[in-house]
Amino acid sequence: MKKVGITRFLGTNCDRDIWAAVEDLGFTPEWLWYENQYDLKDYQSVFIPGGFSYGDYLRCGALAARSPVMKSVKAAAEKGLPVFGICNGFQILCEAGMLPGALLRNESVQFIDAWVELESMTSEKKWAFQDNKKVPIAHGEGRYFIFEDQKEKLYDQDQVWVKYVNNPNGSLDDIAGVLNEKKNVGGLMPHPERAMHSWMGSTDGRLMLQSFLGS
Amino acid sequence: MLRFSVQVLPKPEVLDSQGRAVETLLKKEGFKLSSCRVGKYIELEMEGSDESEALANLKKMSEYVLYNPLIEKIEIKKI
Repeated sequence: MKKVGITRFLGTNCDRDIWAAVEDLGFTPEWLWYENQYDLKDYQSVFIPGGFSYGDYLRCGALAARSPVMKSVKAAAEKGLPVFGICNGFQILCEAGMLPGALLRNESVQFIDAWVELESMTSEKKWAFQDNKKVPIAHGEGRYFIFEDQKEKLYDQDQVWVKYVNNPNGSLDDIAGVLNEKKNVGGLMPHPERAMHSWMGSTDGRLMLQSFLGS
Repeated sequence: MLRFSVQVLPKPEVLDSQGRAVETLLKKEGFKLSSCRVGKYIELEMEGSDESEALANLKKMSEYVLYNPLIEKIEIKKI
């Protein structure tokens, strides 16, 4: 099973980057159009790419989270399908209730476009990485937030996946990415698909995606 | 036809960076205020004339998508 689904909403803009990354790693990407429902049992995994789905109307990811394609993704994820949400994809997964917490406007209120250093916090093999990774961020609403009582649960259940070494946006506890309880769904604000080749500035993203997809 | 408004504000425990930016600007310009929070205002026209039924529907809609109960609170008013 080499088929990897990539969701596309109106306003998604990192879809082609993920497509190229998935192909590069030896898998077969396929589009999942937001208006359609899919039977995802033949898919190896699904990516929810970044962008500005539905123009960020109401709240980032709110409308996309309730679209037909996400009903299929949610149902398949409940049966164990691996799902990786990046940037707006992370926001969509939180809004869909597939990941805990919420992403708020950056503390500085500014859109931040920068390289960041990431530290792996989890022991989950699929998601964990060894050395710190250098990957870019590009977001206006990436400040991770969760209430204190739920935060403890995240740590207890090994759901804190990635932290920023230098917090760029005011995220609670420097959190850049989290996992669901079952560890088959992950969301990350930084863009590993933008760090695939040395000419991009780093190849660290490739290692993260490779670890997620396996071989 | 019944009309309602839904006001959405970030919960008090949540840092409202937009509200803080507006507050800082106003204070810098010499305006007198103690705090400012920024939210959203939504207006809806509901079918039918049964107010309690419309309100029940609106509550469902609010929970479904209009606000995120993790980080926001709402106030529904008939207008």
